[in-house]
Amino acid sequence: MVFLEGIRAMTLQLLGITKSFEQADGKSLVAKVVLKDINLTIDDREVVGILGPSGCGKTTLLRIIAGLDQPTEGEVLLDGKKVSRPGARTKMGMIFQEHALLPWRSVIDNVSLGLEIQKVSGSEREEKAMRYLELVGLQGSSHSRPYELSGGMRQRAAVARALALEPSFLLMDEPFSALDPQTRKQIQTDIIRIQEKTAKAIVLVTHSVEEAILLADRLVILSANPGMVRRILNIEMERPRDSMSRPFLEMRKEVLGLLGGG
Amino acid sequence: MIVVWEALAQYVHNPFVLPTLGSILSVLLMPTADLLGSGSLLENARVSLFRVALGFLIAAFLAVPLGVAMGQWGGLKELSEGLISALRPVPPLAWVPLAMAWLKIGLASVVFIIALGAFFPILLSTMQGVRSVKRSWQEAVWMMGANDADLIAKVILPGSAPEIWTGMRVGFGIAWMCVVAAEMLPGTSSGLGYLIMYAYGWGQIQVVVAGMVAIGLLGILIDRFFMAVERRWFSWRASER
Repeated sequence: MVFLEGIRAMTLQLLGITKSFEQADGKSLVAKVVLKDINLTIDDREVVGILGPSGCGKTTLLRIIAGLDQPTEGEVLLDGKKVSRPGARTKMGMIFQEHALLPWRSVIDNVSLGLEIQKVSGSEREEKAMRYLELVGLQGSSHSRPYELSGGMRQRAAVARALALEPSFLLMDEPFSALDPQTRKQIQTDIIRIQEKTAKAIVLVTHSVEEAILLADRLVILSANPGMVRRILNIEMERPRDSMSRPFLEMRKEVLGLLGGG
Repeated sequence: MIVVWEALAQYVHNPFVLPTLGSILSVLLMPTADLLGSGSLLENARVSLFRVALGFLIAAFLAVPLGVAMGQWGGLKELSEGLISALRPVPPLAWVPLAMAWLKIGLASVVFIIALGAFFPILLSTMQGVRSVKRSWQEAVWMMGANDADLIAKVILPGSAPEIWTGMRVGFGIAWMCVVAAEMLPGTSSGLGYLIMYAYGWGQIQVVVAGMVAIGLLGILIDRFFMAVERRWFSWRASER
């Protein structure tokens, strides 16, 4: 199967991203800074894990990258062009924490939804949707409704839906946090396989250190209040990674140290 | 209840107060027979159904788009909620004199009353339905490059369809009550409401009761239809609660 058609090298740049909200403090409004001066370049085909203590604004950062939220200062550039619309004309696909599948549509109709919006013809839609359902191992459930599927299968369907528009970047917001450990492990393995096959760049927001080390080429560790880049770590380990190996455990210890404060 | 009715009817032995089951049934079983020169049961039912359908459709065509707009755009909400809270407590039948003054006696004023009765339930449940549409569903289609029209067609309308449908069911029930009441008003010369008032005038109580049974049966039948569609198409809604 060919999944590389129409994909070319792209770079995502975050330039001085700052986000603040107005917040009531007693009687006056105070600007609460959630993210402060985030600079990051994400290359083509790279898997970047974003980690940070809760409240560090990592989900907000992902939403700003996606174009779903606007930064107070700074900008997101995709291939040098400012991201002004959600998804930057389908060059980015999002996988939400809660699958966000439309419950009245069957699985295959959910996967082909984006193609429908992009006015792709019916036969091509179905062919593509089926191809991506096969990739995530859901070809047997194409006509089920989302509520008939298990949590893991729903998230696979959401992955297929994001892939169907053939974006260059996949944005994932704690996509597996609601799954049980076993399902989670399985789907993480699948994500590695899918990433290798489709050569997408992935930006993964997670609170699981293991998950981040398992999947990412690079870790961005944020500090909280305000969210700033504390450290960026490259992970050189070969895939598939063994979460019991020494380098893995050492890295885990280092990351936990960075997250724990100090 | 049927047995009690028949026993009482036999006991009272006055068809002007309590007609026997036999006389009521004989009216119901010949729905095409002309009754007192005011048309048959079937014909009057057809007239009432036509009126209620017309008024209901007008209400739905106005209330659904308005409800979507009011549910989706916050600015419009403030403005319209004031208007709704002022108008809604007025029962549709209280509008009758005004309807007759504006639209004259006849079809238009009857349809106006029906539409008014169906309008608010549909409007309110559409708004509620639109607001129940999950943010993440909307964001998911935005990420797919959707414009406002896509958003409405692919997410907002299907996502609020169960609530809209429930509003229509309630609205139709009220419309059905309104049509019967409106047909009892001066200036109407057909319909089930007219028929039972007219039959009362002639002391034909068995026709009155038969008319009431027909009104009730039609109401139940239509409600069943709404519920059947709900179960068939909107079963996904239960999984979201």
